[in-house]
Amino acid sequence: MKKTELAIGDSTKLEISYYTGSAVTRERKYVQVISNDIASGYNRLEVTAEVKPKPDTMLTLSYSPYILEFVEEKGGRLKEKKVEFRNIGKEEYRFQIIDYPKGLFEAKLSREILKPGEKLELKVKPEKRFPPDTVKKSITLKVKGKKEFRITIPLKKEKPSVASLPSVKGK
Amino acid sequence: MGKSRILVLSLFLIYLLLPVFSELKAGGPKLEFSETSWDWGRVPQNSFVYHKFWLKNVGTDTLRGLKVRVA
Repeated sequence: MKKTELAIGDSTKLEISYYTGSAVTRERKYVQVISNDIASGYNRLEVTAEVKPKPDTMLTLSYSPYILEFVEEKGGRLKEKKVEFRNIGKEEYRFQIIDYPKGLFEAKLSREILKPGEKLELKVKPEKRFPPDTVKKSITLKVKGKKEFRITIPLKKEKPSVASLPSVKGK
Repeated sequence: MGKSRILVLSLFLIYLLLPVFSELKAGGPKLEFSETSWDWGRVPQNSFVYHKFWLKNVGTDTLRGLKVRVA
């Protein structure tokens, strides 16, 4: 969060990044927001996640990869990556992208409805102006079958490492 | 008798106007959130997930001392 003061009508963003760890569990974390807004009382944000192993065998929906890793190619270009979802069950699923890092990536579904036995793709394309540093973001999808649930795909782009060359002795 | 009546009326007027003064004083900064919770749903192990909340001052005064603490 960049601002510590907000004028009347002003706004700011609060970016929360959470590392899931190795424990397969349901996590719930809280972030307390403190300011001179005493009248509103205790301002608290809640974030939740269900950490799942790979592969996630509790779903009749298989998908791969679980994480999208972008690698910088020659000229600093980044290629589009995709996640493929397969419906291995008997019910129909409806997909919707509900959160993605605007300005850094474009995200698009090849279709919204996934019938049994079919597949769909989530295509993620980095925007042209991409920072050279390490980027860690994610995309969240809402999936509706008999029950509704969410799937989040982490996005990762590492800063290109500079390979050190061996010293060359002159003749 | 007249003076005491004036005193009672004055006190009664102050009593009636007290809520108005309180309301004026209650104006100040007010923080509003785009949402107060976010569910990432199913996420893989050993990875980073991310979400952006928006905070806005919808009050009548500058919001100061804005900071966050993980609980």
